[in-house]
Amino acid sequence: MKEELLFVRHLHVEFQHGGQKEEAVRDVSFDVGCGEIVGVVGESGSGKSTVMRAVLDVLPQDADVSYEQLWIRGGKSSAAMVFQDPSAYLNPTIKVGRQLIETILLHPEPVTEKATQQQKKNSRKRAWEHAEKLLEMTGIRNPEEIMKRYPFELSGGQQQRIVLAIALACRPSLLIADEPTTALDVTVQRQILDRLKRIAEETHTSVLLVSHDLGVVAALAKRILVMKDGEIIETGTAEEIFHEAKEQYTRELVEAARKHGSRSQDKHRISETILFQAEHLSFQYTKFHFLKKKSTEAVQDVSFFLRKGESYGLVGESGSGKTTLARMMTGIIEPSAGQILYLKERWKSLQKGRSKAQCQKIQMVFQNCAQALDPKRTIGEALSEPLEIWGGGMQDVWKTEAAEMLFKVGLEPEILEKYPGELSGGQRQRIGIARALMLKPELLVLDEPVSALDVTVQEQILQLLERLQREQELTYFFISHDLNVVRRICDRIGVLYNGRLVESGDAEQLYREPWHPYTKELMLSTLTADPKKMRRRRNVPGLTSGGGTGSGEENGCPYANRCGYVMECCKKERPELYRFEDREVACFLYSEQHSGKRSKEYRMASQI
Amino acid sequence: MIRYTGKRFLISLLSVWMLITVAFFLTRQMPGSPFQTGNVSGEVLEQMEQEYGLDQPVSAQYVTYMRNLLHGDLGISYMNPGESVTEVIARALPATLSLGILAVIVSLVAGTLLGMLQAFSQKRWVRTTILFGTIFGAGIPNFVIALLLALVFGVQWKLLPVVGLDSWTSYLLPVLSLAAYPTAVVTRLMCHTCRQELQKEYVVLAKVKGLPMRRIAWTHVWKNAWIPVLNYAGPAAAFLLTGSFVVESIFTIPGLGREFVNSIANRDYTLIMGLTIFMGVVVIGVNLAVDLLCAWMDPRIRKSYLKDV
Amino acid sequence: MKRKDRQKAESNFILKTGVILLAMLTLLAVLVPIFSGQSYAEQNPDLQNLGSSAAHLFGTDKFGRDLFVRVWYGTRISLFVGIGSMAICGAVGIVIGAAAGYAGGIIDLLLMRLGDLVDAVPSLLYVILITLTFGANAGSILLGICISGWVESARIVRAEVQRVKTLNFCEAARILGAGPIRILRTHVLPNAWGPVIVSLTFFIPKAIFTEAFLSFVGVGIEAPQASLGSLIQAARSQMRLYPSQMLYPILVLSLLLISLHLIGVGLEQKGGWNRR
Repeated sequence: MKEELLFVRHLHVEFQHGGQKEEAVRDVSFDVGCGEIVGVVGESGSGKSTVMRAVLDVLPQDADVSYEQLWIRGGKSSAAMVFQDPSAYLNPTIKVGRQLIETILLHPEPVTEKATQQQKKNSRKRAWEHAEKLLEMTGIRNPEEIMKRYPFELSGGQQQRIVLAIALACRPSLLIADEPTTALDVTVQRQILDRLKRIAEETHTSVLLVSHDLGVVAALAKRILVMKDGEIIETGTAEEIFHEAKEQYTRELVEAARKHGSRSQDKHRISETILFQAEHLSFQYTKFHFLKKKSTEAVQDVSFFLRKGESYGLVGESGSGKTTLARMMTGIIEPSAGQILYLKERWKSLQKGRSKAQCQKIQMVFQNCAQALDPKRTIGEALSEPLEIWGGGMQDVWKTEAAEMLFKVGLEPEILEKYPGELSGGQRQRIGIARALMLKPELLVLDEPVSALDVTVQEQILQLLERLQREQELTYFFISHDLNVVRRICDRIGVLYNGRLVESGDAEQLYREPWHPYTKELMLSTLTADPKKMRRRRNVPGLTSGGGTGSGEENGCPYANRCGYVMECCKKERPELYRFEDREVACFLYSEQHSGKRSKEYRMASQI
Repeated sequence: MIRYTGKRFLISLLSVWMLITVAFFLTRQMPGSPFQTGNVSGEVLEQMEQEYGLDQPVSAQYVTYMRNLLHGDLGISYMNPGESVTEVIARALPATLSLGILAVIVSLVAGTLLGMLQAFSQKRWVRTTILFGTIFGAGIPNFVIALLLALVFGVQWKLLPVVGLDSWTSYLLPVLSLAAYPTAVVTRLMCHTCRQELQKEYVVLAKVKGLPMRRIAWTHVWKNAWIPVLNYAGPAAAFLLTGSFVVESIFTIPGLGREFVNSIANRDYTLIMGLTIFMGVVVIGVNLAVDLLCAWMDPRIRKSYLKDV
Repeated sequence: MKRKDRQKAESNFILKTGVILLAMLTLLAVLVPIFSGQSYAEQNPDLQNLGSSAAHLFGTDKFGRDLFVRVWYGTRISLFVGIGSMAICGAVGIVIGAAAGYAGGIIDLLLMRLGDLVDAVPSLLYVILITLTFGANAGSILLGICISGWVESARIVRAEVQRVKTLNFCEAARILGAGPIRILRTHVLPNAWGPVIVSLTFFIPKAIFTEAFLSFVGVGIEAPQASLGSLIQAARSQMRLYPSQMLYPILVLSLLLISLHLIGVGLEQKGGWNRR
């Protein structure tokens, strides 16, 4: 029988808001054995994080915690935690090295009684050495240099590694990881999860891995707890939960997660007319520095086209310029080079006088549904705003039109009188879609429309989008960092890296056989909600690198620093887009000149 | 950082120039000449105006004044022709400076400590007392505090001296009345920023790491919360300098403030202008220094400007 | 009750106290000069330095003027200067801040540098120069305060506008075809009010203090008009003999300023909790 490390019985947590009690956690009991990796899944608001914080006693002051039993072997100090947003959890004005060493000094090595004065004297130096060792363990290649930096000088992945190192410095026997990779890019997520697994195995540390993403849990956990509405509704091994779940809710959760990875069977009509074209779009952010301009390039020379009625997916990590591209398409910002063609007609940006009739054709749905609606205006006001701007009809007409639109997106008309703050994330996203559709647009730009939502809600929204596309013959430009979601809904996919389109082609082909090394990395980093598949996955050269931010040299391929197949020419020249029928790829591996043997007639396949 | 400094310096220089110009032209517009008050004959008046250069066109006077200013010459007092403005400043500065620096130290130290106490204390009465203390401290004007203190301690109880700056006890009342308002502001600011910092997640991580609350307050929260407080040192300097007008008059301290008030009563325009410019330059200088210090203390700002160079 | 609720109740209490106090003072300042038979300026040699009585609630000063009327007359001037300068500086600040924040780029840079330029010099110095030049009256003081008074509210409005402007709902309105004025009016300003109102509330006591300070120094409101500052100054010479002549205006001035600070603190705390 395994030894228990964490033991929780009948844990209750209540929050109080203005005299009202809100039960966040109800009668939760579980335990974690030594060296075990336990996953906790559940949607937002299911109380996962609250349980973890209750275990570590770091809940805010207005929480009431009660339990029958809650103990950790070795006391609270033998548990440590890694959080979702690493940038917030590091003190911005203190060097990361000091933050780490401070922790090491608080948790000294368990020394024998013979500990001499000498050793104590050297404690700072020894702490420094220990810090370096810990950072190496978490996959940071140049710890000495990194320790002298401030948190804001590090990338998200590096910050999370620092937080992980700080957690390890507590010499924990239990490591609680609360959504440790949710804020990170897929490729970095994969690296961090691999590290976590290795550390757990090497140091024999137990891990409690909390995530809303079943893929993350499937990648690591042996045993899984499923939470819903503050209760644990099912417990089982990973295989049991994913393949033979007893509870209806668990099955729904697993199914929703799995659907993402599969192609939708939905058929919508795609016409041959080219609706929208972007030609050599570039955008530079300019900052004024005492009357001098400074610019950084966000999008460089991106060209693509959209057929009427099709769904085009754009994938890329954060900072790759996806949103900038969307904002250029809708006209919010003016491209610094290139042009936008709509039905072969050149369109200006809003600033330069895009006409109202043009505005109406392209609308946008935003990622952050909390920000997308004005908190001071009711849903009715938000929905009738487009009509108000257009000045058509009377107020009663607006209202009926708004109510009709609500029905179309699957909401009750009572919502019209409510404020955005009173709605759930899914409802708000439906409102966001409804507002965009009020003017009957032809092209909808969707900027990460589902990434802030729970899996089951994601599925509902995706189905809604598919239905609307069928009914209204909409064209979608769908932006996401999640390849699974894009594959689910899109006909063609473009991959954006560092502001450049590195590959594009048919969704199914690209997914099955990625050509560009970056697309490959992306694909292999994508997690599937299936523990059996996750165990069989293989490593790619690019994945092991870690740490590097990947911005290439001035003139070279932007991916050269991270690429596992890098050649001499990659560092000196920038590869152009090579075309093979429907497929485009910007990599020298596919050029005649550099790989030497290919000819146009040759039916291309992946070179690697 | 060099560029940032340069930029800040340029703006400060422009501010100084603007102040001088505004002060100069406004002073020329002021009604009544200091010489018209007495029974001076027309001839003597003309001679005096000539001596002070007042017969020249205003633009020429401006050029002369600016040129003299560059040599550190602020002109000669109208009322007391034996003494130049620079000499007045040199004579009066030490008293004002010592009071001002003491008040700055008192308000920064007391304000920081009280603010942290208000933010971290678990006892309700402590927090409420400090809160109402800040409301009273910020609400009651400095000259009222000075008068009340003089009335109670000097006149009624005769505990402390209320005239001059002879012993250390005579510093107590003026410094107290000068520092009350800045202390209240610093306390409020400190408490506010501390509470904001306490909401941040890095405090949670520090707790999880095992740091005791006391150490979190002193190693993590303190530094981040203090930068906005430091920013207040500029306005505080302005407040203390102008506050010296009333406090020095009430406690009869021979400092810049009392000179200024007297020069206003005497309509001694060169002295008014000279003192105005001097005080303006001091405040602008303090603002500049504080700005640079804040930029240097916050690594986010420091590094972003280092990269620019 | 939990700490949060207690703090909420506390901030409500502070706000209420401040509002009631201010309302009472304002009422007296408006009504007393109208309905009292006495004039604020008329001197009466028979009634010098009287103590409190039914006819003269606060007594009389050394010229035999009724202090009760003079104190409330002074309060009126204080309120006029405070609210007037707040209104002007607020309006100017909001327009400039909104323009700078919304337009960005070079307009923003120039407007904000202008603010830096004006704001670097202690505003009292400007006020003193202006009252010396244009005469000691409420108008000069108002003008002097406004020279640099707009900068603070402009900075706050600008920061808020910049914050709100980038939120998605403003971009959504732009894509729907809304013009900048409409967006500023319906989306940006309603969401930016909170901090602006708090800062403007704190601006009033600052302006009132400035006026009282100047009158105390002798460059503010000119005799025979009464200002709280000049009343205190006038009574100072007889501080030992008739302390009450000084204490009444001191009391009213302090209560006025404290009531405004109470309102400011109350609003600030409330705003803080609403946002969270």
